[in-house]
Amino acid sequence: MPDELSILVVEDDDDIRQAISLFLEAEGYRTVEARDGDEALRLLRSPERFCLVLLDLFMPGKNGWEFRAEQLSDPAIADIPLIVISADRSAPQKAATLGAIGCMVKPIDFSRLLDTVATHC
Amino acid sequence: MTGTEGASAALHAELARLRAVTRLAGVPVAQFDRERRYVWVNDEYGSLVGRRSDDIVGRRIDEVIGERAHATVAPFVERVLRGERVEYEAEVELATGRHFVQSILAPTHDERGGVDGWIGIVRDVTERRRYEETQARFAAIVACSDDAIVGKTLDGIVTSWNDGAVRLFGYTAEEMIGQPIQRLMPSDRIDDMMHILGQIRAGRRVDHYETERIRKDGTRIHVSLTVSPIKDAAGTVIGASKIARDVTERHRAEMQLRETLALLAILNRTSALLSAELDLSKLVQAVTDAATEVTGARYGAFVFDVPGSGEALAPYALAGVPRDARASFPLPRAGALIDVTLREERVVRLDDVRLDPRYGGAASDDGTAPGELPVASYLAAPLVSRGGVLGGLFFGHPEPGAFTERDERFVVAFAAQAAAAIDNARLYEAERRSRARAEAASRAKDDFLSMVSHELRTPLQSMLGWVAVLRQGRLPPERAARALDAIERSGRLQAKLIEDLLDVSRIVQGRLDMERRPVALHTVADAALEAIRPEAAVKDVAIEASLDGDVTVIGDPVRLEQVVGNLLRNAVKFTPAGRSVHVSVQRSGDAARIVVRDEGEGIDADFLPHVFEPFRQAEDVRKRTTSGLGLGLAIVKSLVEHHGGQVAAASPGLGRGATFTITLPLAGPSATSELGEVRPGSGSVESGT
Repeated sequence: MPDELSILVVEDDDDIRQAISLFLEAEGYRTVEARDGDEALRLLRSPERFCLVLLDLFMPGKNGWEFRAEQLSDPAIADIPLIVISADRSAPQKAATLGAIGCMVKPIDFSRLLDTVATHC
Repeated sequence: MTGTEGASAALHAELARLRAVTRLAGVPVAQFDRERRYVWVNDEYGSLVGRRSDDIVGRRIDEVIGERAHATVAPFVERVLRGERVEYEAEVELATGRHFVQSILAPTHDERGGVDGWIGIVRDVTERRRYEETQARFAAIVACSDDAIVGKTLDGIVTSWNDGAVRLFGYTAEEMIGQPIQRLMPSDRIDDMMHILGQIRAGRRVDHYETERIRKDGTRIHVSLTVSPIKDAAGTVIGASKIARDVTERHRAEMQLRETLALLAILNRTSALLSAELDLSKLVQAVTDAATEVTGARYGAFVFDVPGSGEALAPYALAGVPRDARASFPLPRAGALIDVTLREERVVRLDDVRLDPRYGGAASDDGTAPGELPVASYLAAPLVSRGGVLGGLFFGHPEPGAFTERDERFVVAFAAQAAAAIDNARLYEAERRSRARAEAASRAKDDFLSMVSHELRTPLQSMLGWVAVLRQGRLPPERAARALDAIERSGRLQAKLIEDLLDVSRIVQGRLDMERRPVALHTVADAALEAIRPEAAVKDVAIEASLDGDVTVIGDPVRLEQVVGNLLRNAVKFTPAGRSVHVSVQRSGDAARIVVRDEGEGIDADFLPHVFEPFRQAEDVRKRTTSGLGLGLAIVKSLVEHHGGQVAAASPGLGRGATFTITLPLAGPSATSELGEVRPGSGSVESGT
């Protein structure tokens, strides 16, 4: 469907990223995966259109903070809402400073993830 | 005219002439008969006694001058009636008041030569006597005055010199009268005299003028002068009278007050600094500077006491010393004199240190070694804190006797204050350091807990995520294996993390239990290789092994496998796809050697020394490329050392791989013979390569 919006899953851990992606796909969402911030930015600027970014913070290459800074400085993609998903205990505070609309601390409950995604996509 | 008439007429004429003469002279005159009755008086006499002259004639003397006055003059009257000429001075009380009189009584005679009366001439000298009395009183006042009262001409020649002047200036009147007053003037105060003389010549008085004078004994005194012009009857200034008061004491008191105020200002400034300044070196410099300023010392030094430091004591802070002279600063010179201050904790004040036998090392005539700053006056005080002598304050001045008792008292007080401040600064410094250590420890603990939490949550997320996916029941069957793989891998990772944490905990607590038996290293290496192969295969990293079969050590096979496994896991983790990891086990002389080499990103030279420290990972925490607690290599190092061996890391640099080399002592021949029965715990045993 050309006008269907995708969810971008940015996570360096292959197992976690694939699990999230598969889970959301199974619930009828369209997902796109990125291993780091660079790949994520490249995908955001592709013809694909996104309703939400799920972002890990600690990543090799371009990390979550660097990704977010670049996203916000690009008007074309700045408005795409962000939810932080991190194993860091202080992730909620970090997410707030990044202007995220939500934050979930790993291990996240996938049914809760579904509820959160449903309100945005 | 009869003869009697002729005589009477002649007498009358004479009396009239007498009256005229005495009036002209303005002198009271009276003539008496034998019965002491007035025969004749002139008007001046009447004025003196307060009666008209015609009311006096015919009366007795006591009636006219009164009983009291008569009692005074009666003895003289007796004498004149005996024919004697009498002159006397007396104070008489008349109706007109008390008078001082100078009288001449001359007897008169009849034809037979007998005394028939007298003539009295009276001079009223009351005014003059009063004047003389006043003068005498003034003279007495001047003579007795504590102030120096000096008369002088306009040229400054001394004309009078009282006892006060003798006492004040030390010169007698004989020494000074006729001499120029300039001999009292210090040469630098001549201008003052010119000023005063100018005022006097202009007829003006100079009040309370403070200046200095020199006594006969040469001492300088501070005086307050009041100088008035002396004028003649025509009003011309002909000289000056000077009253000088010694105000040396007052002046000294004022100077002391001023100095004390200045001192207080410095103390105040310094105290504020002392209590506020917690930086030790700044504090010590401030103390030295302030004390040097207050004592007026040319040189000041603060020396930290370093017991047993030998000959040279390094001045910690200096004041008043040119930079190029610092090396030759003469204070403090180690020796007996310094010991008095630093060991005996006593204050030393010397007018001339060069004369003191304890001041060692006098190398030239003036007592200073060549190149040393010239110091005569010496003042030293210990700084004693709670913990003993901290050091000493040392002051020097090139002039002898520069330091007073007051300087000494000040330095003692100051040293006490400074010692307290230094104590505070030290306590603060110690407190700051221990707080910083505690904070760093607390931060490290927080960081560690955050990392542990992060690392344990990550595999947990993988497991829970895949369980959720499986529970959805929509996963195609061909992908179910993928889910189970992920769950298993994450479970093992979690278990490994927990094992590592427990190991580190045991190592830290010294409770690491190890078996000690002969172990063939190729067997443990093989077991480790088998364990890592699946992970290496997933990453497409090749493993090349070269394992010699006869390398045996004494130790714990499970722990040794853990050592090799950790190195292999690291190597695989850091080696990119398509590259290789090399592992070898071999003898090297008397030692067994295990080498694990990767073709990974290598180790930065800066990080290399820290590579075996626990919780150290090379990259920025936000750039975490790999999971793990950063404990693997720390555990390796600890386990290897428990086996009496060593581990070394080497890397030619970033991007060029890393090599870890473990060296272990070989087992003896007897141990090797038991090899056949020994197998490591992991079961699958295959011989080398």
